Parts: sequence; C-alpha cells; structure tokens
Amino acid sequence: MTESTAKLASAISKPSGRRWRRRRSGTWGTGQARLLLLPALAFLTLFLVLPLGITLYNSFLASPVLAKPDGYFGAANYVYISGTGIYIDIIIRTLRICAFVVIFTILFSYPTAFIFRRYARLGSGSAILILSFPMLAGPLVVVLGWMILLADGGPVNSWLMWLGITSSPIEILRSEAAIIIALVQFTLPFAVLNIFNALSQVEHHLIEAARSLGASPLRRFWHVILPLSLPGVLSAAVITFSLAISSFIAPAYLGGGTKLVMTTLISETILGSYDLAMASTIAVVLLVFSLTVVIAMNSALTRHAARR
Amino acid sequence: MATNKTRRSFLKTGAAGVIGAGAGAFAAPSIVLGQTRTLTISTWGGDTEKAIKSFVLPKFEKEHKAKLVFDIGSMGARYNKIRAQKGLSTVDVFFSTDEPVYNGMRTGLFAEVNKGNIPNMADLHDWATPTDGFGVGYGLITFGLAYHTGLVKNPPTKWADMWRKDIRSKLALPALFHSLMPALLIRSAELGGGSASNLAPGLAQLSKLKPKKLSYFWTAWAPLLKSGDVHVAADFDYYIEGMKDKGYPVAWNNPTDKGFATYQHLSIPKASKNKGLAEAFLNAMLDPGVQEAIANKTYQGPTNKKVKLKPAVAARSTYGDRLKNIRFFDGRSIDKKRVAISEMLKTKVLPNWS
Repeated sequence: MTESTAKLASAISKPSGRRWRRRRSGTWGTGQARLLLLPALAFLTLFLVLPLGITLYNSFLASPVLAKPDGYFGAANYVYISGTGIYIDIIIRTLRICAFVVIFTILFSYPTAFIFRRYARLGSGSAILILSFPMLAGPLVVVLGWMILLADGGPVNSWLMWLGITSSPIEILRSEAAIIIALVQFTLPFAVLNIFNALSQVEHHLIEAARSLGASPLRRFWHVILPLSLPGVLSAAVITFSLAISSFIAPAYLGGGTKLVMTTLISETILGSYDLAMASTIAVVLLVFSLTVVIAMNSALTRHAARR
Repeated sequence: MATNKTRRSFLKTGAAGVIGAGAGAFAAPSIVLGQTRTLTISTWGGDTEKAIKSFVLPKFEKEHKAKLVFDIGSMGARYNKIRAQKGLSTVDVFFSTDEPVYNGMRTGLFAEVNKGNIPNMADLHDWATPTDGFGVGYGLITFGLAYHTGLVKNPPTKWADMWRKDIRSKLALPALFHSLMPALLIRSAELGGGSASNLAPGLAQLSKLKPKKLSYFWTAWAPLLKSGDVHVAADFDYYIEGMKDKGYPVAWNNPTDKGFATYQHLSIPKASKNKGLAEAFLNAMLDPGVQEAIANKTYQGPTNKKVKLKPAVAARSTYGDRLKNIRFFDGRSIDKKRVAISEMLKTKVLPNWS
C-alpha cells in the first residue's frame, strides 16, 4: 500500500479527533441518528421477528400426526422428526444438494470471474450482464427451460444418444442432479459478481511485486491472488448456500415431486394436510441448519480477515 | 436558524400533505361508491375466474348494486389464509373442492347457508349438497386416467392398468398431499385386497409404482407428456378436455371400475359480513344458464337438474351417462384420517418413489 493510499484509508476508517467531535456536536447527535433506525427496526420486528416467533411457538404445538392431548406444548414434533427416517433423509438430501451446489458454483464461478477480471477492458462487463440473465429472468423461467432440456425425450438425452454415450435416455429429471444443475446455473452470477469484486480489489502492484521477485504465474496465483480473493469466495459461498437451501421452485419442478427437500416438505405439509405445527417444526429445523452453516462461514470469513 | 425554520416548515407542510393525501385516498372509495357493497370471492385463477367474470359478474353487480373483488390462488393457500385469519377473514365466498369444506365444518370455519335465500338449491341433484347445508356443490368433475394418444397403443381403461409394465414408470400422479390421494390410496388398497379401513395393502400397491411426476395441477406434467416422459396421468376430466382444446395429444378414460367424483364447492366463511349477499352469489352460481355456460367453457358438470347440455359438451363433462359410473367417497371420514393418511404416504410410499 502506498503512503498516500494508507493515509486515505486511515482517514476514512478513523476520522481525525477534531472532525469526529464536530460530527458529534452537529445537528444529528447519536440519539437522533439512532432514531433513523426505528423505521427499519419496526419493519423487521413486525415482518421478521414476529412471524419467526409465531413459527417457533407453533412448532411446539402438537401435530395432528401425533396423538397428544389438547393444549399440549412441548418438543414432541422435534422428537418425531429426529426419529423418523424419511424426515432425516429429506434433511440429509437438502444439505447434500446445497453442498454440491456450493462446490460446483465456486468451481465454475472462480475461473469465470478471473477471466472477466483479466480481460475487464475487452468488454467483460457485457459478459457479466449476459451471465446475469438467470437473475433477471427469475428461477421459474430457468427451471422451465431445464425441464425441457433434461426430459427423457429432450435435447440433452438426444445429444447423449447421438454421441453414443448412452443407448437409451437417462432419467435426469426427477433426480438430485437436475436440481443441482438448475441451482448452479441460478446461483452462478451471484457468485461470479462477488468473486469478480474481490479480484478487482487485489492490488495490481502486489502481483507485479511477486512477478519481479521471480514468482511463476501459478505461484503468483496461489500465493497472492487466491489468498487475497478468498473473502470474496467465502461470501460467494454464503450467498450460494443461502439461495440453495431456501430454493423451492427447482426442487418442486425438477425433483418430480418425489425428491422432497425441506422447503417443498414445508409447502406440502401446510398446503396439503393443513398441519401448521409440523410445517413450523420443519421450518425451524431448516432455519437452524441454515443459520448454523451461514454463521460458520461468516466466522471463517472474519478469522481470515483478522489474519490479514 | 432561518434554514432550519424553512426546512421544518417544509417538512410540516409536506407531512400534512402526505397525511391529507393518504386520508383522501382511503376516504375516496366510500365517497365515490356510496352504498355499493363489496363481495370478496376467494377462487382459483384461470378458467374459473374467467367464467365468473364472464357469466356471473356483470348481471350480479348490476342486480345487487355490489362489486365483486377476487382473492386468487391455489386452494390450499387460500384455505390456509382463511384459517389463519379466522374471524378477521374478509372472504365472503370460498371456492374449493369438497375436501377442505369438511375440515372447515369440523373446525367451525364455515357457516350454514340459509336455503331460503338460495332458491336454485331446490333444483339441484340429490348428490349436489354433500356438506349438509354448509355451502353447496356448483359443479362435478371426475378423476380418471388420461393418456398420450400417440404413444399409448393400449389405453388404460381401469385403475389396475396403472400397474401395467408399460405404464407404471411413465405415470404422472397427484402430489402426495393432493386432495384425491386418499381416494387413490383407498382404491389401491381395494385392488390389493384391503379396504378403506385396511389401507396397508394400498400402501404396498402404490409403492410398486414409479411415477415420473407428482403434481397438483396438469400444467406441471403437461410438458412431460409432450416430451414423451409421461404416457399416462391420473387427473380430472375437465383438465384433460381443456388440454385437448389447447392441442395436446391426450385423451381421458373414465375407469370401468369408476372414476372418483369430486365437487366444485361453494362455502361461506363464518366471518363473512355479507352473508345475505354471498347467498345471492351462490344462487347465481346455481342458475341453469350460468351452469350451462360454465360447462360449455370449462367442461365442469352442472349440479342443477334443469341444465341440458349439448351432446358435444355432455360427452366431455361429468354429466349424463358418466354419472352412472362415478364413485363418491366419504369425505367426512377421509377428513378425520387425512393427516394420518398423508403421513402414511410420506413415510411408507415416498421412500420407494424417491
């Protein structure tokens, strides 16, 4: 970091005492500034904390599946879920799909972002826009496209048979692979944009310094670029995981209705059998898994930042 | 200071303007509409909504000086909404199959209708009032077997054909929690030597199938019919007739061992503040002219005995001879076992389909 850059960064992150005091004694004191948070806090309380609280409460009511006396309030639904094979299978399937989606998305998005960054002046902005099309079109359009492509009688199977890879159609739809493929495509632009931003912040003179010290391109990538862009990779992984675990349309349409994941199970339970208690229990379990993984990833991100 | 005053007065004026405009916007409808009453109709979108708007709304709004507003969505979502809102629900008329009505009757969600306000009820078939005065059936549809006319050389004619080697892995079935799944389980149990009170053979029978698609609505399996992934689908007659009109290569058979009759039902939530007007709407839906128009447009069988359908429409609706070969299930009994049945399907059948 150059001296001038360091000074600038220092000025931004820690304002000088005089400037800070002036800001504190100005028209907007901290108390007034906090008032500005009220609308957002009220909104979050009303539309996030309150519904989550109600969902948590409902999860402790007895599901009609269980023979419990009227007025029961306890953890019976959780005990039932943890001891019933199909629920465990669905939880494991959800996490397995998410893991594959994160792995493949990062594997595909890193080189893409790297190339976009490398050739930023040659119109990679347009390429990013094209890549972002699934975000603009929305998951339903993406999934309907895959339904046509991956059908037994669809183009993908036709190509596979034409190439002699298989003699009869492979059942791709109604498989976890179909869900993973669609989710990877949907989450890819989110990850590419994150990693692209991280790569953009890697200062060029550090790479030049490594080059001048004789580091090969691979060593420059491995020891300079990759470590410095890791925060972007981790935040891309967090976003990808969050999108994958909360996805509904891809599992519902491409899983054939038989490959249930937690989101589709919640929907089926509440819309089909009107079992609010069990649906709430599954929703809470989903939230716990989701938060645990996201917090773990964030903690890794923080530790990485602290080491730097 | 002067700047502050200006800013403050500007903010005050602005706030007063916003409040005034907001109050005006809320007050406007009552001023403009005067005595016009609003009736909220909770129904499916698509053909049903279009039929109401085409065949009922214009005359009804004029005759009753009322305005119809629509709450559109899937049956499960709409039913859960009025359940959650309970006494605060603004829905006046609820469209559904008969399945959630038994649940709503049991949990005190729906009101008994005053037959005196619905004179057309006197002309209904005996079977058209399954819910003992808690609303009324305005249409009848049949759940049977649809097949791809180009790919299925030997069309299915009975429920047992679903287990045929050439069909069992090319099937689209109702979703696990679909309202017709309990009926399908009961029929499967009977085919496997069980009954409505002995469902275990049905679970074993269903486990032998390998469905390509489970869905709530025909649009979910229609692309797979086109691609040849699905050859046979268990679904409603009127959906398939609509698909034929849209050019799909599909036909529908009423199984010789009887298709499953399903009501298109109208109920009035207890929370409705317009019960009299809602009953007038039910009466309008039972009008022979309206029922005939709905049948012509959507192929839903009429419940009013006075309706005489044209032969071309009659042959494609639950009407006439088809009424002799359909089966009504005990909705009350199914409602009480519904959650248990869904759980059995989830834990015993789904693992074999995944």
